[in-house]
Amino acid sequence: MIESAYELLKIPRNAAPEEVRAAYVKMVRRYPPESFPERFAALRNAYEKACLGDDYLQNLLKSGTFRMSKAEFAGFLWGDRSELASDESGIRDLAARAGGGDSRKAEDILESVDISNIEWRGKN
Amino acid sequence: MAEPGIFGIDLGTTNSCISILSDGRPRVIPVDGNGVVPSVVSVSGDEIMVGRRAKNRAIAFPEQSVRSVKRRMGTDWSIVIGKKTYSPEDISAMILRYLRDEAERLEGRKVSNAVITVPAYFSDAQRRATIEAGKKAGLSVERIINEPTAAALFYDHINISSGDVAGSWKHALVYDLGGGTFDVSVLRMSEIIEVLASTGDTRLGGDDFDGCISTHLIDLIVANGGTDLSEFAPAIARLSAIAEQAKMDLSVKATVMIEEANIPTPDGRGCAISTEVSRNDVDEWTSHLLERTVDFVRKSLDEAKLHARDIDKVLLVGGMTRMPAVTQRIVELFGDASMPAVDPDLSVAFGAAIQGGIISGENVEQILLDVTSHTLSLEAINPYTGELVCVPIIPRNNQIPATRARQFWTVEKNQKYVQLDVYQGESDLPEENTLIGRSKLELAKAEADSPVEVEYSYDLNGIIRLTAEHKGFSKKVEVYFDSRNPEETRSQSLAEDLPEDLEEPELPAAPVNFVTHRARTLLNGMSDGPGKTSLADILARYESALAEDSDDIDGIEDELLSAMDEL
Repeated sequence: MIESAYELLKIPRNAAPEEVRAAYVKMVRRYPPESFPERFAALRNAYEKACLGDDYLQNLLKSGTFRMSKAEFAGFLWGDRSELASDESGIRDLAARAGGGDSRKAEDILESVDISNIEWRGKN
Repeated sequence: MAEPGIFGIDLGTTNSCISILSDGRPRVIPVDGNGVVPSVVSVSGDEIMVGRRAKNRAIAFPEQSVRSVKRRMGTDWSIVIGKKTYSPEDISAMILRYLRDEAERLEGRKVSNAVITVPAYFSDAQRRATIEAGKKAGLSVERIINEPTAAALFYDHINISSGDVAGSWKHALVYDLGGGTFDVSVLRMSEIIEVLASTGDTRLGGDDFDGCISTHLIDLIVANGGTDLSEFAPAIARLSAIAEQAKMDLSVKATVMIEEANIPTPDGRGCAISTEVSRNDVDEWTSHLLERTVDFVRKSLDEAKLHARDIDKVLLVGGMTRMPAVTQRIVELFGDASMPAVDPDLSVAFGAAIQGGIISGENVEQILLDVTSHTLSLEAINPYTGELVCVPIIPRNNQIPATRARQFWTVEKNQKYVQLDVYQGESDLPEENTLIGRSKLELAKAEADSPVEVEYSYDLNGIIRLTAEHKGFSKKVEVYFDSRNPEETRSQSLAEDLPEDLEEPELPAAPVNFVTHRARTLLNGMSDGPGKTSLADILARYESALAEDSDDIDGIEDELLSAMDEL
């Protein structure tokens, strides 16, 4: 069972940011990263979701020159790098495959993918 | 016999220091007299000298001596002395071994476990090199922690010990200008200590200030009709030592007289220098370096989303903060913030000893959450441009330990493998970042666009691990890379299983949080009787509730806390 951010922090869904933070601090004191590193990572993610908001990650990246929107995170991983330069056509249709070059559409596709429980039906 | 304990070591560019927590207080071990040991190694035949003796010998024998080796950590630099070749890790290991041996001699007990500090801005390769140096010195390195964070841990510890309410100061900025590196960290201090932002430069420190002064001295010799010594190593070694001394003297005096009759020259005849240098001169020569630190201060405030006026305390760490120009500039920036006076040379080592206590379970009151200092990304093809870009997975200033995953896609049908190149840096252009590891994951036969999930973990030591999964085709596997030889590709086949140490760690037998620590301490001091049995029973229930994560943990925690309050 995947616990929601609110369940993990043991707070109601309508908790104010100060309450979320107080709950987070309390839980971190109970589960210090020293003794519970994985538990801490989960608490941290829950706190980010419930208190710091969706823009939190994007904000952390602002100091750099990462220009990618959410849609462009659909990065493709090449195998043999030496083919990269020669096979232009393969590259060209990646955009279409990532959502026809329409970033809005690509974002929708990404949103609809449930990463935690994906089933890929490829032909072996 | 005294408990072995975990020692704290500040392995600095110019000076190093070893300390230990005893009776809840950090204490420096007085190696070389006052505990501040020059990070200098000098090799004479079979004899290896470290510390004060090495520093003195280095002036006469610069070619047989190594200073500031910390600036070479994580690189393939090496030095030949006599017939042997030494890596930066070898030299650092000599310093660590000296600290260990001397501490054992002075303390009369074994020194085998240590926490070693590194600049917050150190990379993965530099951290791994530091761990390697510790191993070579026969130490079990329990943790690598960031120097500004260690200093903050120490200041927080003083506050707790003096009964100061933890909430009385909220935001602190650590300005750590050492011999070779500069770090700035912004922290939020309440019941827990959180690093909000951390930045710096691993090539900016006292050595650069000395360099500015000695460059001016070389120019002066030329202006007086002497030879240009800027390429002559023995002269530079001599002049750097003179510059360092002048800089230190100018921290307490307005002017110093530099008089030196025997500066080595290539023709062997030597030359002399005699000049008066004022504090203003040095401030002028080095102002560009000071301004660079100010830029980093502004950047870290910006990243923490704070203004200078939000900072309640500024902690000055590192010997260079004794320079009056540095303190003046900080006062200009943070008018009202107070600057607690604590020895800038020792607070990092004190913090390391406190961290040692946290790990050994001696000190569970302080909880510290540090952050990553670099963004970790994976190289991938941007589908819209066809270019290779760095896709961030764990951003900088992310609290650690952190684990984050992102999904990527294959390009071709039946693609044999995916190339996984891990980069560190703040650009989306791979060439502007640092490659820290190269590896590949072999794939099963699949359609194009099949998903590959890549997960990065950044542990409490600041070491990165990579796991990947060809979704629907393979189990999650750890993909290894070698950050010290980043160009070398490590291949990972699907057949290999997840290594065992990646599994969930078992709950330690030591106290796990402040509640269990308090209960165990109380129990130890109680005589047998019903009170003790009852407290031990609640503690046992609490510990198993923690381990099982049961729903009634809140109730048991309250029960335990109130039972202790009644005692």
